Amino acid sequence: MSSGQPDAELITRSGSDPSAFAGVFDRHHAELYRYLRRRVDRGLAADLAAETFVIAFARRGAYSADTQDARPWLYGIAHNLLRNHWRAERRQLAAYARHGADPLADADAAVAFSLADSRADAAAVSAKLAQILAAMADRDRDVLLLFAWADMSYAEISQALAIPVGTVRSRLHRARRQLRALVSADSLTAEALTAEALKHTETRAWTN
Amino acid sequence: MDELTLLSEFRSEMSGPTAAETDAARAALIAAMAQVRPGQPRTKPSGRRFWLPLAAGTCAAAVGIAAAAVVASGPRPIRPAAKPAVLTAAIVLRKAASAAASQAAGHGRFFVSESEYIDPSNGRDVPAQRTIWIGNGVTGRLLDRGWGATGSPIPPGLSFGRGVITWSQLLSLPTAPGPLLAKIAGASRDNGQPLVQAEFATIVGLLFESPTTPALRAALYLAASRLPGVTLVPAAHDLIGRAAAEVYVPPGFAGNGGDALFFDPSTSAVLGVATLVGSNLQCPPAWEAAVLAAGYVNSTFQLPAGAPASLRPVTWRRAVPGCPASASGQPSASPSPS
Repeated sequence: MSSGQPDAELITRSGSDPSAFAGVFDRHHAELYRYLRRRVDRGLAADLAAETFVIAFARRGAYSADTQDARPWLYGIAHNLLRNHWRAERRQLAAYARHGADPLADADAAVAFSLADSRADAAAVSAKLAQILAAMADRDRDVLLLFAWADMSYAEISQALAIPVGTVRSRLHRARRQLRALVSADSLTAEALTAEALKHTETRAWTN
Repeated sequence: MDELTLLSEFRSEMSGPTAAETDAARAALIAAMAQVRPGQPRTKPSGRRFWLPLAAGTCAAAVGIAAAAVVASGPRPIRPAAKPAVLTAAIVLRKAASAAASQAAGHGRFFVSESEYIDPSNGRDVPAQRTIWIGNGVTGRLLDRGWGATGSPIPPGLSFGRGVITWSQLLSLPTAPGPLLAKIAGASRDNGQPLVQAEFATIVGLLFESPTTPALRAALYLAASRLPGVTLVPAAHDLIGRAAAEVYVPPGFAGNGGDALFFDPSTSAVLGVATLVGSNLQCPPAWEAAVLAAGYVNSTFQLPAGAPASLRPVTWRRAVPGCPASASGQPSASPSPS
């Protein structure tokens, strides 16, 4: 049983007993999938989550046994895969901002969402959030979403993205500042914000 | 409410993995684990379809996710692979989509495709050449040396599921994979195949000998990547021996063959297509074509850039015992002069 064993122990043991790695999968797959699902469409999220564990298994020999929690390592692999889909993510966010409907939403989830009065406020600002996420630098968005959606600390984000903690701090500061400015920018029209977000998106799409 | 609270609610309604998605991911991992099980003899590929017995076994539930080799040996219990090669049909299809999306659109009155094919199921077991000019609102031309069509005029029309669409209708198809797949499903029902195979066949039909825009081509590859069961044939080659990504949808229990698509993931170019026979993938296809050159021109006597002066030698699989008679034809060793 793997329920009480730290990830590091399971990964080390999987060197001689590959099946031990299944404990890491069982513990983290659903959560990683959910994180990816908030960033890309369902099919891609499923593929990337599956691929992350296959790659992690192949690279388990390089895992540092000093790191008890495998989440930063797994999310780091997932982000390397996700990097190939930054452009698609930006486009989907821009489409969300433009049309007010989330292209990633499942049909049933969209219905449930529209019926939930308590989340009407969030729905009203979702398009604005999509705008600023689309316009944000990809690397800043990675840091922000690991912080907000994966509940990672600065140190864990640093480990996942292989960047210094100071860089995590500065990127997060910049991303939050953009987010804060947008949320409070009541004087700006949605159209202007959309145009701004799309302008950034198009510019980057041609320079990638 | 601060900005992080708002952000934490953004897309929080997204559901977790379905049981099928979890099972598929677990199956991919188990397949990777199986590669390094201590004492297990490693299977060396012996041919183009070497993976079939494996796929029919424990990896059948992987829904198209196949794990590539993982190396673990030596004095230490674990040795990481220097460069893990994990390829699935979905990955190579998305790579092709990404390549297509960054390309510029072509222009011309005609889209011309020159290909070489083998058609043993119709008794044509020597390579033949086929050139088709598809007109944009005007009559095109077909030069098929295998069928004796020496420049026959052809009306505008492109294969689309059970029917035919015009060039302009092709360009009006959705370029988002979801809506496109819905259109494809609508055009593919009731064609006698399982729906997924029929959808895949429609996608192949839209990609082969077709003036797709880069955006549509990207959407078609993405749509194919979403089909359940779409499978990659490792280390495949097309009819004329070019290394290619080959994807297909395995037949169901009915055992009917389906289409296979050969393409170059790095350029999104379609390299060829094949019609598979039955469920035995070691059998030669009923029909297979390799695209020699394709592009846009302004007359039905122009050829696309890069069109070869003669046919290329073909690489044809030998039939194995038990193959249907229609698939057992063998081509000549060298292409026929046209």
